[in-house]
Amino acid sequence: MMDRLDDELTRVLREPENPYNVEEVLAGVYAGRKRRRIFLVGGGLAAAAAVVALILTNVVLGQHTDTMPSVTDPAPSVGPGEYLTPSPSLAPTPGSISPGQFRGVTVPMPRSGPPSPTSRHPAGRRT
Amino acid sequence: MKGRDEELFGAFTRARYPELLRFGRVLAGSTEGGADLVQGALERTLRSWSRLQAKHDPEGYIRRIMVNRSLSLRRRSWREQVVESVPDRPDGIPDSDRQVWVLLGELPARQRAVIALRFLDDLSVAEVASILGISEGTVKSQTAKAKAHLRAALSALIEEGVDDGSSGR
Repeated sequence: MMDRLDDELTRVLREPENPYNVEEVLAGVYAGRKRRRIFLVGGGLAAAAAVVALILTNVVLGQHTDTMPSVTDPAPSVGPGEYLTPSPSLAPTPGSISPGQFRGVTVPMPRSGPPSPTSRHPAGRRT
Repeated sequence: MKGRDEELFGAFTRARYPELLRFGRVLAGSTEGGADLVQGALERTLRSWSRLQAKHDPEGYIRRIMVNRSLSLRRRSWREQVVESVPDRPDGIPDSDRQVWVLLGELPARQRAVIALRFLDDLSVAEVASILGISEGTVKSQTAKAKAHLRAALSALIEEGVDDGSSGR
């Protein structure tokens, strides 16, 4: 029974059926190659355009960096006994930072009294 | 592609297309799907035709492409809408044979590939296992499952053959 099943299956599978014209198939294959070439050329051009656009963007954005100080700029000269003073614009204005504060965060002042019994640093400073 | 290569490719396609279509038809479970498989494989083959000709085995390359593509296509088959019958299918196929094709189309892609390689190409279990990259035991079990699915239709064919006295094999 199994052999006959196999034989029938083989017969059905090998039954010729070719509704297609092989010349049309060949034309389709050649057209497929042409489509692929167009796709590859188009894709290559698009990639090249993207690279050029990226380079141009970098050039335009790079012009802004021309005003940045260069490492080759001469450092300010300081003579013996002189100190560099900070720029007045960096100095705190009255009311901006109050004593004991740093940018709004209260910094505890050093203890002046006897150390707390629970303090891990009896001397009042970290070692 | 040079003119000579194109000529040889055309001659090869004209000579082997019916066999390739038959193979693709079993792999895809339909004539239309098989024609798509053959067309895609031929397009790929055309790109490396010179190299394949030097190896003297373009057909093996094409069949391997078709098997691999049929397996990968079925993995995304959820996107496809399966219809019971295709309107432009040519007539002339007996209903009982058509029933086998309908059932064949319902099989998983791997089972169809096993059936194509074993019953159409007459390959051994070991050869099928090597081509599909599966064990021989899997080839046997997939064959048995596929035949169990087709058995009802095939049994009807055998009975018809007995009634008509026309069963050849």
